[in-house]
Amino acid sequence: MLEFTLQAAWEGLGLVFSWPNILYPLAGTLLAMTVAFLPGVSGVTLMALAIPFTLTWEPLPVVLTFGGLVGGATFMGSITAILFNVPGTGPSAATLLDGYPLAEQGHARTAIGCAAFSSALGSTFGILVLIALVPLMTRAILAFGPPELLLLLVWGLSTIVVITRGEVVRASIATGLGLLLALVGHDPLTGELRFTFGSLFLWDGIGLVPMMLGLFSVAEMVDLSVSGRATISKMRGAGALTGSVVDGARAVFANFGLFVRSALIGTIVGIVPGVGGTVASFLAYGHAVQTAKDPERFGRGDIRGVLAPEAAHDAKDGGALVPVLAFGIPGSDATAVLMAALLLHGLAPGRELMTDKLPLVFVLIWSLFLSNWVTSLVGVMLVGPLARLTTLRVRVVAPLVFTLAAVGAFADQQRIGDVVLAFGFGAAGYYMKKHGWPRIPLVVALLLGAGLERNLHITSRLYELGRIDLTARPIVFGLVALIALNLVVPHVRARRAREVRA
Amino acid sequence: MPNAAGGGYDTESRLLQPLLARRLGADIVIDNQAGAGGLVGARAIAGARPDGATLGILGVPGLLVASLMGETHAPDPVTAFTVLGRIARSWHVWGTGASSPLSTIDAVVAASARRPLICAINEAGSANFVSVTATAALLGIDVEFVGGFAGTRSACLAAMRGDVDLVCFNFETIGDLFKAGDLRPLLQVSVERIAKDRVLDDVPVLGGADGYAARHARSRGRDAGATGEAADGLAQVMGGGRILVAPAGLPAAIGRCLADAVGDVLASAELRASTTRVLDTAPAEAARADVLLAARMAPRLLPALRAALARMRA
Repeated sequence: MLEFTLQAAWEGLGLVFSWPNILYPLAGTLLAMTVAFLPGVSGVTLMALAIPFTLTWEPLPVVLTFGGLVGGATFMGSITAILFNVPGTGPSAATLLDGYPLAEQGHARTAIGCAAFSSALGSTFGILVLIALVPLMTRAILAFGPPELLLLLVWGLSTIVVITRGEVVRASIATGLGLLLALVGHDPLTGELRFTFGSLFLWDGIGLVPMMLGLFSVAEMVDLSVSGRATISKMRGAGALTGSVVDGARAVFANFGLFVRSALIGTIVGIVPGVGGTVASFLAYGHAVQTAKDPERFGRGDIRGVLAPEAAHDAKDGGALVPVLAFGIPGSDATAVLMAALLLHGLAPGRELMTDKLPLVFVLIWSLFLSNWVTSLVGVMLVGPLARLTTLRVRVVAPLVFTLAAVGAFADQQRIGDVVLAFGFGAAGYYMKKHGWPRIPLVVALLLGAGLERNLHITSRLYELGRIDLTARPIVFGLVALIALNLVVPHVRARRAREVRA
Repeated sequence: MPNAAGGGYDTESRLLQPLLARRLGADIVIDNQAGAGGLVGARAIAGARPDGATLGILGVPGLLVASLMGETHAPDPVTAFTVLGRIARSWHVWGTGASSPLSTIDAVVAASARRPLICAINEAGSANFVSVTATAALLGIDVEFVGGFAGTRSACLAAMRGDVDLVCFNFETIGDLFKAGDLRPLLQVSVERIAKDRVLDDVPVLGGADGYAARHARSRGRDAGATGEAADGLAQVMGGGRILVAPAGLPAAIGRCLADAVGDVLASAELRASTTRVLDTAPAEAARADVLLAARMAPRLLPALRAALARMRA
C-alpha cells in the first residue's frame, strides 16, 4: 500500500512539475493573490467564479488550477493581519496577536518573513504527513466521533482561557459571553429559533468575520487614532524600520521544536472533520504560550506568536484534504468549493478517488504545495514596500482600514447588517482593550460554540441510548488528560514561582 | 440564488448561467443571497418585480417542509412563483453502516419490535427528518433521532462507525458511500427505482402499487391501497426537486418566452455534456404539475411529524 502511495505521489509530482502543466497552478496562485488585494472579493468567490470557465476542461488542468487557487487564496490574510491588525481570513486572526505588535515596533519585515517561511515549511510538513497517512485515512477519520470532537473543542477552549495569564476570571467571562453569542440563531438540533427577535438576519447566528474585524481591526484603529500616534510603526520614514526577512526565517530554525509541534497540531486539526483552520491557528498559538518559559512576552510582539499559528495554519491544508478526499467533508469554504468543482468533473470523493485516481489526488496536493511556496516567496519579495506601509500616517491608514473592515464584513455574506455588526463589535472591542478584557476567548468561544453544542448533545444522546462504549475510545482518555494538564499546570507553575520568590 | 457561492444549488446555477445567457441573449448575474436555510433567497425571489429580470432556483421539499413546521417566513412554492422548469430531482434512500447487523429493511422492521432504532439527522425540521418520521409511521417502526450532526457526511460517518443504526439522505449525495461499500442501502423512498446503479439492485422501493409500504401493510392485515397511496404522496413531496422560477404574476408573454428558453437549455445536449451529474430535468408544464402535486400531498405528512416532534420535546 505504501509503495502504491509513493508511486502515485511520484507520478503526481511529475504531472505538476512538467511543462506546460506547471503554468496552471502558477496562474491560479497569482490570480488568487491578486484578487486577495481587492477588498470584497474573497478567494472563495473567485473559486466559485472559476467553475463555469473550467467546465469544458479536462480533469487534470482543473485540479492543477484549483490547487493553486486554494493555496493562493489565504495569502493576504496574514500580511494584512501583521500590518494593519486586519485578519483577512479567520485563521490569520491568531497571527495578528503578536504580528501587529511587531509591526508597531518597526519589525514588520521580520514578522512577514517569519510568517512566509513558517507557513511554507508548515505546508510541506502537512503534505509529508498526508502522504504517510493516505493508507490509513479512513481509520484516522472514523477515530474522531462526537465524544472525541467534544473533548477536542473543550481542550481548545481551556487552552485559550489558560493562556490569558492573570486574566483567567475575565477570560472565563469572555468565553461564557462568546458561547452565549454562539447560541443566537437556528438551534442545530431542533431547528427552533433562539434570540433572533423575529429577524431573518440573526437566523444564521453572529458572523465570525464581522466580529473579528470589529473586535480587532476597528477597535485597534480607534485606539490608534485616539492615541495621537502618527504612524503604526511609531516611526516616520522607512529608514527607521528594523528587522529583516532573514531574521524572520532564522526565528523558525531557532524555535524548530515549536515549529514541528505547531505543524503537528495543524495537521491533526485538519484531519478532524468539520474543524477549520482558525481552530488550528489558535490552538498552536495557545500551545506556544503554554510551553514558553517566558509566556508574559506573548501579545507584545513575540516572533514565536507569529511562527506557531502560521505553521499550524498551512500544515492544516494537507491534513484538511483527508476528510474532503476520503469522505467529501469539507473543513472550510475553500475546500467546499473545491469539492464542488471536482464533483462536476466526475471526481467524487471516496474510495475510487483514493485508489484508482490517487495520482490525480497527488496532483492536487503538489499544486497546493507549489502554491504555498510561491505565495510565501512573493510575500518575501514584496516585504520591503509592504513594511513601508506601516510608516503611513494614521490619518491615512485609519480611514482605509475602516473601509476595508466595512467591505470585508459585507463581502463575507453580502449583508449590510454585518457592517453594522462589525462596527458594534468595534465599539465593544475598544472598550475591552481599554479596560483589560481579553478579546481572544470571545472570538474562539463564538467559533467553537456551535460545534461544542452539537457534539455535547450528540454525545449525551448517544450515551443515553447506550451507544457509546468508552472502553473502545482511547482518544477520549488522551484528550481528558490534556484538558486536566491545562487546568493543573498553571497552578503548579504559579506555586513554583511563589516558592522561588520566597 | 438562495445559497452561498459554491454551496447548495450554486453549482447548478453556474452550469446553467452560460447556456441560458446565450439562449436568451441576455447577461445573467448570479446574486448569492444565502441565509435561513434558503428562506432569505426564496423570499427575495418571491418579492422581486415580476418583469422577467429576476429568476431563481428553489428546493421544493425544503419550502414545503418549512411551512409544515409552521415557518411563517416560507413562501408558498405554488402561489408565490412562476415555475419555469425543473433542473434536478433527488430521492431519499435509507442507509446503514456496512458492518451493521441490520442488513435489509426487513431486518430493520424486525429489530424495531425489540428496541427503537437510532437515526442520525442534521436537525429536527429538515426534509430528511420529516421523510423518516413519515416512512417510520407507515411501516410502524419506532425511531429515536439523534440530531445536531453538522452535515450529511458527519451523520453518515456516525452510521459507518456504528454509533447510529440509520441515515436517510438524497441518493445523489450519499450514493458514492453505497458504491464504496461504506454504507448499505436499505430502502428507496420513491415510487420507482431511483437510478440504474447496481447498488440499488435488490433495494426495495417504498411507494408504488406493489411497493414495500403496500406489501408491509398487507402482511399486517391493514389497508394496502391507502398505505401505498400515502407512500406515493411522501415520495412526491420529497422528490419535489429543484426548480427554476420567476416571481408570481409574470406577464404571460414573458413567462412563455422564459419557459421556452429554459426548456431548450434543460433539454440541451450541452448541459448534459457539461456535468457527469444525473439531472432529472422537466419543462415548465410538467414541473408545475409536480410541484402542485407535492404541495397537495404535503399536509398528509403532518400527523406523523407532529407525533415525532411531541415525542422529541417530551
